[in-house]
Amino acid sequence: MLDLQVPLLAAKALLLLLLFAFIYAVVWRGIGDLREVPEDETFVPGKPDDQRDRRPAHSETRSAAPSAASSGTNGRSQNGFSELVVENSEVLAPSTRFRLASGTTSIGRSGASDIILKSDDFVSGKHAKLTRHGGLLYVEDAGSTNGTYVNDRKAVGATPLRSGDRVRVGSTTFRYAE
Amino acid sequence: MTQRATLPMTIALLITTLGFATLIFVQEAASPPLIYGAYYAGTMIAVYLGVRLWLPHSDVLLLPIVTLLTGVGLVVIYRLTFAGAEAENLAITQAGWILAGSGILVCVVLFFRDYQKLFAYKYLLAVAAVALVASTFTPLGYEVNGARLWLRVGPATFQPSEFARIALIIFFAGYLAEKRDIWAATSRSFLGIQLPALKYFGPIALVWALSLGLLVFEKDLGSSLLFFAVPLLMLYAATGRIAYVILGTMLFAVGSFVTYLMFDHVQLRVATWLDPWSDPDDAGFQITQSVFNIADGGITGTGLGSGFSQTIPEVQTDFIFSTIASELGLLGATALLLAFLVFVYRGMKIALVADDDASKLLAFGLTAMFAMQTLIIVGGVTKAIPLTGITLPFVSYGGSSVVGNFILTGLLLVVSEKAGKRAAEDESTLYSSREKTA
Repeated sequence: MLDLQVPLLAAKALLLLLLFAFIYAVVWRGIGDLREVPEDETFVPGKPDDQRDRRPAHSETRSAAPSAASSGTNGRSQNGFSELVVENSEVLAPSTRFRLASGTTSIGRSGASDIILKSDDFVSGKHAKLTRHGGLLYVEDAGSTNGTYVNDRKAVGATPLRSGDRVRVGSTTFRYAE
Repeated sequence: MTQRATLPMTIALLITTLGFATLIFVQEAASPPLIYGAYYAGTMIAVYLGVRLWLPHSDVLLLPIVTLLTGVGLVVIYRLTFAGAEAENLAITQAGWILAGSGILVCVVLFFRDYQKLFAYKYLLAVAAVALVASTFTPLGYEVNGARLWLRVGPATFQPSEFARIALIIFFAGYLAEKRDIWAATSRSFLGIQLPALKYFGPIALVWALSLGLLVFEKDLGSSLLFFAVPLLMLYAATGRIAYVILGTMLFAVGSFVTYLMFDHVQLRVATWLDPWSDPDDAGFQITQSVFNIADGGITGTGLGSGFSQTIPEVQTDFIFSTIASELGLLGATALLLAFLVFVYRGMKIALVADDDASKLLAFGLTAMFAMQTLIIVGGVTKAIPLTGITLPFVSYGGSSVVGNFILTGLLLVVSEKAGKRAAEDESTLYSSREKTA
């Protein structure tokens, strides 16, 4: 009996091993696109030209690079803090500046938001939030109905901002300035 | 640059080969005509290479997973039906269906590369879906095991609901993408839940109710569940409003209760699920045998060909997962479910990177259907939920199911091609601008 059992057992073990090898191979390939996002962005403040050459983290930010570079100096804020400047809005005066404190800044229609967009029907109560992490400012949609757009492309997940990028929430477009 | 996934493809085909080799050895049977195995491997490799050639930016992992699932399915179907006289044919028939499905997938890839055109015909597709479901009430339809799901056209027989699903998902994707703003922001309310005006609500409700109603009268419970859940999930994905899910769940509760009272076969299903051991030789036979076989498998399984799952009625279609759990054990069944999970993950990823709302919803709807179908049948055979007859995608024996799932994969591939191409173009413009500065 032994001569029959041993190869069968080996075949069984090999089959299970191969099944998991397949899963391993597939998952390894599948998480490849997660690994593409660099762990630590080599971002040096005050060197906007370097940013242009930097390979963007993922597809959502790809179109961001040219406009970031073109705005060069006018993307700088005068006082050295990062700010959101209103470019175009139905509810806020143009050129209104919002200084971004460290930590999280929320944008929304509700009175509890840091940046309040009152009476804009296309803005959700809690619309978007800006988070500073590792020297970069990330904008993230907070489950809004109409979405948050960075340079006219819908932001999916946390999207890093570069100086000069345009963030649109409802009818309001902000320019990000560092 | 074209991505490749040669390693997963090779492993998937190796698994199939090893499975057949073990079976031939164990059953000491004359080998099946090996040429069919060669046909199968050749088909899958050709489809894989063709898709890499025609859609170089499309998702690279879907086809290796399809190869694994169909391969494992073929091995198990061959194992289950080899003993009988007409039985050997089932694995060969299934191989034929895989060939047909692959052919249709290639057609989808070649002719629907510009799949967004489909959204222009969404109302036509909705009518087609309802007509397909209704067609089994015509003289062409006939009953199998008390459910009127089959259609006979000439020599060919098929289950129209498998194809109606896909048409319906295209309709919902196109319609919801067009009207999602209205669905998301609306002021009318009903029972505290905001609903849009009837003229926007109407088409969806009509198509939904018609297809569901027909299926319930055809006694196709599994498909009814899918036709109900998938549009609801798509509605949630389109609007992000939990209120629709709550309303849908309430409707589901009321609907299930009414069907429970109206139909004997629903009562029987629930009674069998709650207590199969009250009638283990008749009504509860299928489910008790399934649970026994899964338990028999243990951690590593009995080994291919050594289990007893051929005693389960309909084992090669609805209960194929029991055989896999029995003969490949907990480990093998887990690996198979992980393969399904990776397929769903890739589908969701395609939905995330897709170009526009309609494409996102299409990819999401197709993936959600695939996931729900797996959940419903695996839950059913493991006695986690009441059993509703439905196939395990790609693994179960069944022509309509296999072909339908190949169409689904083809659509996911063309959606991912479009998104992948755009990402690649963005990247190349970025690199060219980089050269200018340097």
